[in-house]
Amino acid sequence: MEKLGYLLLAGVTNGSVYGLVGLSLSIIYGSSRVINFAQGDFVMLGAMSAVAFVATAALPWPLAIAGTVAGASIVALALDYVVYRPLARRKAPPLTIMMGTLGAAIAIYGAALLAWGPDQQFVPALFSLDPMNLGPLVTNSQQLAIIGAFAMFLAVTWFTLFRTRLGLSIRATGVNPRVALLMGIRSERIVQFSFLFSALISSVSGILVGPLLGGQIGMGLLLTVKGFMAAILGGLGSPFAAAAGGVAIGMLEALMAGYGTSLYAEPAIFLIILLLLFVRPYGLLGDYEAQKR
Amino acid sequence: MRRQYGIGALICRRPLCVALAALGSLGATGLALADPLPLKICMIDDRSGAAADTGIESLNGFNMVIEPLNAKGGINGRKVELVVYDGKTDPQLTATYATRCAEDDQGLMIVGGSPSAPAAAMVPVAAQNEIPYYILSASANNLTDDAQWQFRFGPKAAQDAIAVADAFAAIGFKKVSVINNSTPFGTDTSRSTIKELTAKGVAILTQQTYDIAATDVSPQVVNLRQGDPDVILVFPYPADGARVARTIRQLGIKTPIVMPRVGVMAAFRKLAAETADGILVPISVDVTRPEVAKLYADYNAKFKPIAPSPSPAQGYDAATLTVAVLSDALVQKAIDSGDLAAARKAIRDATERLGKFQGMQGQAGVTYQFSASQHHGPPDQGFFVFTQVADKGERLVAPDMSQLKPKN
Repeated sequence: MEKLGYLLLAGVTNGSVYGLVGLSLSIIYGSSRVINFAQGDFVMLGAMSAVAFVATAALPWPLAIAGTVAGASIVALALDYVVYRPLARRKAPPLTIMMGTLGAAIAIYGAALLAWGPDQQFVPALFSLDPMNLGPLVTNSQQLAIIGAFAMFLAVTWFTLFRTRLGLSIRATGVNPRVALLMGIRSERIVQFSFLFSALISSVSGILVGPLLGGQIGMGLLLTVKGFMAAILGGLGSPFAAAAGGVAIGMLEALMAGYGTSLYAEPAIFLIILLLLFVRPYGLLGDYEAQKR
Repeated sequence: MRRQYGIGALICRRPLCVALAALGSLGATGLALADPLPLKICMIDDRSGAAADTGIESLNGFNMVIEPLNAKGGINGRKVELVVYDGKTDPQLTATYATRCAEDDQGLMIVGGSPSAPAAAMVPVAAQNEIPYYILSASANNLTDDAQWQFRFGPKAAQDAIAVADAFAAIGFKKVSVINNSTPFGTDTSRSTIKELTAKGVAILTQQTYDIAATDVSPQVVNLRQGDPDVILVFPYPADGARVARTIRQLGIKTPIVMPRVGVMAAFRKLAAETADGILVPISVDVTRPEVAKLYADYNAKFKPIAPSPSPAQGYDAATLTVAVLSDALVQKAIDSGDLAAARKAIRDATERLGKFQGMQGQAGVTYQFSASQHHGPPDQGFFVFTQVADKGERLVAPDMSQLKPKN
């Protein structure tokens, strides 16, 4: 039972990281039908900004977090104004805009290379990395904080989408931007909000995972891939489905490593996802997308 | 119509002019042959990118030989010129620089190549241009198989494996658990080591593999506990190595940890901090040798202080052999003749002749073994010692290996 406990805890921890990126991707997709290939780079910006503000500039954590979120927001606005909006106004198809976000990812990587260099950086921990007991299990506060942040952002997303007029506008824009516009909803503002909200989620995620993964300017790519897998598995149209997809992948990885063969865990998980998508092409919880078509 | 022979045509008749012209051209050729080649060496390595530390440290080590030599006037009055390129851990860019060195810079030889991929990219360039190439720490096993122009100073991955297997057999370890990341480095090095351990009768209780993007590696680490191993072998990259070390200690596992190569890297030790303490690393630098200790003391006085990693020693040893080779009479004769191809061939041949020497790597009395049939310098036996991480990852110390004992 102790082993199962560790596997479940690891599955939830890793799944929360994938889920946070999947949630960010899905929020933007929900309002714009665009996959933001630069999303993982916002996680990187979060981790590396923590290095700059806390380790280098010796700022207190509240200021460092505010600075990190502000920096990520500026980059998100640049992504909106420089890439998304000009292309969308010229009626570019989503695939073209996605290529634009890929270009933005390369530009962010290049800027980060100039700012922080190529080396692995030590990211200061917001919470303690010392072992702590959680019932019979041993973990640390930083890992629990990742799970907590995941739960918090899920709750905030749910509240925003289903309990506010803004959320109603976001959902309406996602269903049909033209009709939403006719109804008086400024869809460009909605998309801009989704870029900003996703940047907030990803940059805070970066602050939390940085001390565990280590800060390196190339870390965004792997996380984008995992987040994208999570969103596809869960169902791209719904942020909650994407988040659930992240947890499912984390659980699969942990259980495969714990009870199966860890050497072939990654290809086995890809195979499982592929088989699942044969049965449910719009993801595990992608009924909404399926109905739309 | 009368042919023109320039100035010669004005002063002589045709047969004489032809003879004069021929003499003139011979004279010109003779003058060109008399121009000695500059002692130009290209240092192509990673000074940015994932392996920046190794490239910077090996260049510093190389300069510790070349700068004093040049200050004393160089070799036979000619200074050694270094042309330095940053390959940025990019194989394609590295190969381009190697070509530029061979064709445009007219370099006598190439030195560098710390990660295997950029080093491998320079091997065909060296063969095509017939230019000697000294590889430094790149560890891929096949880099010097059937080598014609390349020579290697760092141990290959299989030799780490042999060193680990020999040490475990000597200690009496019978049960080993292995954990590695899923990159080619992790899977290849663990496979080589498992092969050597199995050959020595050491049981592999489990081999665990993890994704480097995994925040929590406890599923794999929990499995390491099964069978109560005598020692845990870890093959990671620096960041995920820190995660593994932290998780092992977090779960209260007291088993000794051995982490080849990555365990000495500054990035790993800083990220792992106190959880790195006690980790054992087989290393080709034996700081109990006085001359090696002096090398690192001098290095730390001159450059950014580091814990002894093999890179400065590899750069230093490559420079030592370079100077010996360039000072060789046959090489000097070829250089004096101005024939670049002959000079490069003479350098290769001299490396094969002069390549048995005691460098700054290996145990006392153990020499490099370069020869015409052996372009991989480090021998299988006696090249490694063990070092241990201490003081929250800040220092590397000589471990007391007698404290290591099998559990039963």
